[in-house]
Amino acid sequence: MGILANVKLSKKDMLEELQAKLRLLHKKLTQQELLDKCVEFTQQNFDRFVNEHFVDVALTEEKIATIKKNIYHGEINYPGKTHDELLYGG
Amino acid sequence: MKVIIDTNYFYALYVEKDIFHQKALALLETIHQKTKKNPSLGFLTNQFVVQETYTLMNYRIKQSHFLHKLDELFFGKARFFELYYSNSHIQEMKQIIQVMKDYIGMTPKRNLSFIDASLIYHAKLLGVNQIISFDGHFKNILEYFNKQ
Repeated sequence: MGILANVKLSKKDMLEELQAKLRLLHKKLTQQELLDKCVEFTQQNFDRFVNEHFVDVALTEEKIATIKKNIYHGEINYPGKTHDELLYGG
Repeated sequence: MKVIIDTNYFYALYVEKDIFHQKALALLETIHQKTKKNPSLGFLTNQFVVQETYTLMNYRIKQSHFLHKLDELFFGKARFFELYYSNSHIQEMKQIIQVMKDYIGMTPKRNLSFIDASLIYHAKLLGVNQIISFDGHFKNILEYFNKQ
């Protein structure tokens, strides 16, 4: 195991809470093990991590223009069916 | 204030032939104006709505390149809402199913689909005040749970 840097943890309470929740599920992990697993999880769910934390979701003129440019103007299939009928039958 | 978005809004926004298309476009403009004045106003949707929107579009429109346009909305440069993913999948599924059970017989036309129930569940979970949907039954439900 490598020591990279001293990291100050501002969410220590959350870490302890996570540890306690896992203990209830009979999983005893040290804080170090738990942090390692969190990093691993982030690595495995990288797209989701980026989506949730680093994408600017403010609606801009540019986004509106992109949406309008992408509008579909053609015919649709099953025009006589509602969305529910099409998706779920009936 | 938070607002959660349903499948039929995305569909109406992207499909000119939909009867709610003009309304969806006008709403987009309203969202733009409101978020300019109040940047803390948050819009979101969940993973189930994304799945349902792709399915619906794929059934209605037989052009593969159209799905690429949806990619821009959900995963690319056109996204204007947070994308909420379930944290604890099994636990959350059970909770959503519980919402389906709780609302049996309470909606006018049909009982809730899993996706509808997920919107209600996430609305409660995330402190959402409004649902953008052209599905009438949400109105009654929102009034119901806002009183609780």
